[in-house]
Amino acid sequence: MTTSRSPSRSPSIEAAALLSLLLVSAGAAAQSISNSSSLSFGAFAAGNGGTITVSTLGARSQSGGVVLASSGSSASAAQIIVSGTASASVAFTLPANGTVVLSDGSHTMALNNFVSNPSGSGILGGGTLMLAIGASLSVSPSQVPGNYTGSFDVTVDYN
Amino acid sequence: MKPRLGPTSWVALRCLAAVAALVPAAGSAWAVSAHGIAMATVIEPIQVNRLLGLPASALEIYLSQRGPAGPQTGSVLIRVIGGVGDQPVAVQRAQPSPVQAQGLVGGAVILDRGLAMAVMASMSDEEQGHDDKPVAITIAFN
Repeated sequence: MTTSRSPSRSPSIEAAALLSLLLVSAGAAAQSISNSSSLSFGAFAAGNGGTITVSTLGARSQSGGVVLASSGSSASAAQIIVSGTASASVAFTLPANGTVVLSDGSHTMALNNFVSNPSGSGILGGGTLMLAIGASLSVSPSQVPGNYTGSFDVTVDYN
Repeated sequence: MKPRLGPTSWVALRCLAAVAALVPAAGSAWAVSAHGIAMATVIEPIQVNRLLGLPASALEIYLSQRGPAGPQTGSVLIRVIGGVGDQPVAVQRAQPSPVQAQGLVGGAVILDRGLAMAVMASMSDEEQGHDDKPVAITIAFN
């Protein structure tokens, strides 16, 4: 006795397998995010303390008694490249206030008020999107001189 | 009588079930994050505790920076002490050059350590009625 498989079953299997492959490959293509440049506040003296803000365009401004120095390292906004499926919609989540500090190993400065351009969400026009990020740095009057560094997380949700 | 599924049909159903399980998971799995780097440099101010109007050498600035505080120690950074009237006058901005101030004979400026080569100033002649003439402080960097 011989059994014969129905020809109508094979397309179901093939379709399911193909759909699985498509989903896996689509997920892999949409998950690319890289750090292009750093958020830099340049050089300054603490003075009476205050705040330094770097905009998403990399423009630096101060408030309070902080004195900006035009020599040394220049200010710049952070740039993050988001890659994925063309025309995909993505949403960004920036760090909350009070969660990021810069440190020289012993002393810290708080980094708050993160902003981005585009803000909130965006479209991967040609499959990539450049996200510019700025923030405000709180400087205390007794801020110890030194080189301060820190890191922050940016989360991208593919809608 | 219920129809019985053959082995091939069971395989197809399992594949579909697996795909169905992948679909809702895919939406939440596509959230990725990146580390951004931030940096800043806090520099140490240098006080020039001497009468300006004469060139100050890098060594003098170096010594002034480390000298003990005293009556001739001006306010750090953005204020300039008037030596005669003892009136503090704000320097407009601590830029490399030139920094403009008014009516001063002594004061404090901000310099990056290691970059300063000289600090010069010309003071007004009060006897000739030019006491309100702006005094330029030139800060040179190498």
